[in-house]
Amino acid sequence: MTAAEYNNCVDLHADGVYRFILKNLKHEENARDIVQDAFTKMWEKVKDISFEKSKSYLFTAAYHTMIDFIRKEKPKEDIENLGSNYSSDHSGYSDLKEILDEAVEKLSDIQRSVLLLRDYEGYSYEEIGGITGLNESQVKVYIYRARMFMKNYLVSMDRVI
Amino acid sequence: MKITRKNYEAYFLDYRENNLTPEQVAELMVFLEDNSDLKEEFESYEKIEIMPATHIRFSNKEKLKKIELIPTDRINGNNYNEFIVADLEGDLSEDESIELRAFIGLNPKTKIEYNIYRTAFLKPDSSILFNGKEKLKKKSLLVIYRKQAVYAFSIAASIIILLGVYFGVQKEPAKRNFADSIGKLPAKSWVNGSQIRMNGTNMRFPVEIESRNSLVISEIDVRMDVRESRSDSRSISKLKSKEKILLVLTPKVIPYRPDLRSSEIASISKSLPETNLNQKEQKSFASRFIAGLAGKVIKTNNFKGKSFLEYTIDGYNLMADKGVILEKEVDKNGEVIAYSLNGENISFSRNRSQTKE
Repeated sequence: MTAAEYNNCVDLHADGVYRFILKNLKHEENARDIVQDAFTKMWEKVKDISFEKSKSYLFTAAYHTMIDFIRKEKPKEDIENLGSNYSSDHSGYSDLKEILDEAVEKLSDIQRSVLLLRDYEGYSYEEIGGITGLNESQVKVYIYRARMFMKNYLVSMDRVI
Repeated sequence: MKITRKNYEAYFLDYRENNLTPEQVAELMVFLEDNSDLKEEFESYEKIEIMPATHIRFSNKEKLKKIELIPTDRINGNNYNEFIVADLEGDLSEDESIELRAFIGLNPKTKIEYNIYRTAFLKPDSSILFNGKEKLKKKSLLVIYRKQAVYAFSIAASIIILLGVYFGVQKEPAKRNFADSIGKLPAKSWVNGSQIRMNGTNMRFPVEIESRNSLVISEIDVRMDVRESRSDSRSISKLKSKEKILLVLTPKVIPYRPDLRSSEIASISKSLPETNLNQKEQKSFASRFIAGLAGKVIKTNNFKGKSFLEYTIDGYNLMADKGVILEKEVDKNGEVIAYSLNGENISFSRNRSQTKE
């Protein structure tokens, strides 16, 4: 793609990639670094990447950088099973968004990633598989588990809608 | 089971709770007789009951209850959650979707769960923005679109090259009129007396002409008034053959016509003004400025051994990704007398010398 198309990608996708990474890492500075890294990688291969595939490339690059970052920060934990601890904070929530945000944080890293890609960006199972390196069946299983977790979290004892 | 010192406590407890049969009670008494040291412990066993704290209640018991759901062909209480998620994900066939709605119709409380699942879908927070997008962008002063560059730069570079070649080759604009050519004749010239010949009323003698575009003197009949540098004059016939004389030339130009007779030439000559040998060419300020500037720039070798024209060619090749080659023809003194440009879509040559012999 051309430099003009690359700059157009910045306007179109920087926010979306940033939101995705930020929701996963919950750390603004780290999320910014990962976004910049993703765009840097794309620029290095700008002649080989078409404008139509730029969004997918960015999310893939950002996702893998994020996973590497998480593994570096949490080396002893199983990434697939992270996030299964419930908060003991039983303070009431009046805002559904807050409840959903907390529920998302409780998901495992992979479940959270696939769910955000599905709901935030509207990717298909196949596309999510391409970004995360999973096959379609795995993506579907993670999404289903994530949705059930989210639903159960909403109806759990101390959080009544 | 026989009562032993390893399991007697359980029998003590069962005895207190009246859980022993008469035979077991009798066996326990025999055991106590055989193990008299345990009699005191047996006596101390009392039934201690903890009264239930009935004031403590479990709230929201209803939510713990499982509703007995009415199943359909494929959907039941064990799998209806998966069907709900699949329906919201768009993964159900039309038949399956219809059956799910039927299932929900039979079990109204599942509709609440269906709505909760739908509520749990995430929406991107549009208030979260990446600050600093401009720093991610790549800026350039000139955006070059590869396909268009060939034409744009070819035209621009060709103009630059043509200008460079033109000024490189053309020290002075080519003049084709006779007056300018003759005007370049030296005002004074040393010749041997033996070299002077008369041709009717005209004189012919070898004179070195400084002109690139000159016509050979033999084609021009020039009537000249010849005099020595001294004010007096002598007859040509009295010139000594080996005497060197300084000729002051004040030529009058007569266009060459082979049919002209000597008398006609003389007549024409009288009517013509003298050619001002010192007359300089009348050029515009712009052309003189550019020629002068170009002359200095083109000739300079201060740019690391390359001329302006060579740098122009290099620049063009770099911008348009071409391989134009500049070839120069030099004379015996090393002076460039011709340029030639050869490459894709470009072919240009210009000779310095156009002398007709």
